[in-house]
Amino acid sequence: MEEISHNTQQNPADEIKPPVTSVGIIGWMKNNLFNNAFNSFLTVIILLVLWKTLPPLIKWAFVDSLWLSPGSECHSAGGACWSIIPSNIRFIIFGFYPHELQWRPLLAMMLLVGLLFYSQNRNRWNKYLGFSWILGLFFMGLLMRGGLFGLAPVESTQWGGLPLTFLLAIFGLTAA
Amino acid sequence: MQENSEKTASAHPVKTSFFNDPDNRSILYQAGVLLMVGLLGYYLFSNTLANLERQSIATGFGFFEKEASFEIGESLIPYSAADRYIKALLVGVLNTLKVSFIGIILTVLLGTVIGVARLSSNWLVSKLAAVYIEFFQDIPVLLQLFFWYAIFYEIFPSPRQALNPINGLYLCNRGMVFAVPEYHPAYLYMMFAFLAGCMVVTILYRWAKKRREQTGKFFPVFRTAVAVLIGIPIFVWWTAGAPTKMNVPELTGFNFTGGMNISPEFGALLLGLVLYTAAFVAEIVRAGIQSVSHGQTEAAMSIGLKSAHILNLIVLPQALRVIIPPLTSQMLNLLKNSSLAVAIGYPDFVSVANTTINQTGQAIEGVALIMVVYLFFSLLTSAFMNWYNKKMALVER
Repeated sequence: MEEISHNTQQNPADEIKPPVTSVGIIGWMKNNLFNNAFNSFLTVIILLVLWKTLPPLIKWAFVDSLWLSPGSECHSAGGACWSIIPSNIRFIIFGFYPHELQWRPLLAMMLLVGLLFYSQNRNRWNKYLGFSWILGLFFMGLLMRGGLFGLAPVESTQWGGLPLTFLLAIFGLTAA
Repeated sequence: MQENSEKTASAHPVKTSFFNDPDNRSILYQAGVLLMVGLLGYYLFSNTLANLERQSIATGFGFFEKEASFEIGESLIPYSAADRYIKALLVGVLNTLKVSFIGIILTVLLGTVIGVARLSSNWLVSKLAAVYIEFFQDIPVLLQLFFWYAIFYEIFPSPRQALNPINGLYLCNRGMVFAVPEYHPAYLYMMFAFLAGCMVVTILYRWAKKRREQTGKFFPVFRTAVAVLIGIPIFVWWTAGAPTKMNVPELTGFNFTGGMNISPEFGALLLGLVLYTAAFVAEIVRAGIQSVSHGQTEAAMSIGLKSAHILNLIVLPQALRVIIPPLTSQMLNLLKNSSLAVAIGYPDFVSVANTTINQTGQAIEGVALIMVVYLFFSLLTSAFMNWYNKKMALVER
């Protein structure tokens, strides 16, 4: 009598574990990749295609690739020549903005991104945040445009690249 | 007492000055605004005319009859630089229609397949479809067009070293050249047989539907339709002499002659637009299928319907109501995005009209023409889709 009551107080699930093919990774593969004939066929085909195409792609993009070399080595390399991007990075990001004044759009972008990340938290939305945005917008315009406080003026035809995309996208999306 | 108040009301009518009457004021304001708008319109119109006169630019559509004197890269109808502008514009319209028509059909097919794959119970298939959708939705379509054009134009070799994956197909930077069957009357008969088969299949579908509603028996319409649409043209081909001669492309000099050529511009435009728009269509299809509550599928399974029947009779009629309106938007998007062809050199309508504007200087007529043409085709597409939507609507009491 005592043994019986002893057994019922233990957790019955401890005693018998589920079969190995139903749980863990094998169970997941059975349920998600191979659950019927057509799915098994599709999985095999897809794995075959990935096996054939992914290693050469990774080899081209990451193993054989050049990241910071000068342009003359690009032609002879077998892999991707990413170094075109680091060598032209200032033009890609800032466009035609005058070279020595590029700290200004950089500062304007950091201001915009900082305000954006700060505003992510809905709890922080209050009057002061609204004023900060308006003030931030004024400062961004000032930094990009120049003309006041001793900053050299830069026409809006010379703005370009990433700061312009950020400004247009964020304010365009909000207005829409 | 009542008579008194009536008499006082009629003896003293409300009399105020002319401008205090609200009716008079409103008429005055509206007349003033109309006058100002009319003056503004007159000023713009006369200013434009004066400026055009000053620069000796003609107005009106008389330039249609002038000689075009520019070549167009590819055209569905025979065209040369000696033809008139109106013919050049027609070539542009046909090119736009060609890419839009083929693009819309391929987009709907590819988008449906990917949307259904996204809902598959196979984890690999579902995740791959999700990666495709996220990737192609998020990159701007112009960049995708540049990418495909760069691949077709810069990376493919010249015709002399063209890639030859299978016999009769050559890939080079002048386009994709492949062998086509040589012309023979049998192909004409096959096409008529196919059209006749389409009519037979339509009648068969209607008859089978009526029979199913009356007696509940299913007729294998799909298999019969496939047999009719494929078997009968093959039979006609066999009885007309089984012609097998192909027009194979041959490398002569610097280029291929013979066969059919798909230019890199057309290929890049079609591929870029189809892949981009299909990602959006896939999400629309997924939304439509998920909008049908799962209880319906379960109820259908519990009364023993096969899964093909569940899809056709229960899920699709309800899902199509949700799918068709956004799908119309995506079709119109594809039509309008085909105007980006001007960036990769495909001679669509915007590109041809642009050249015309540059040569004749008549920008206003040219742009108005572009707007009218795209408006016409967009309205046509959306009218057709709205008719289809009404047809698919579930008729309630």
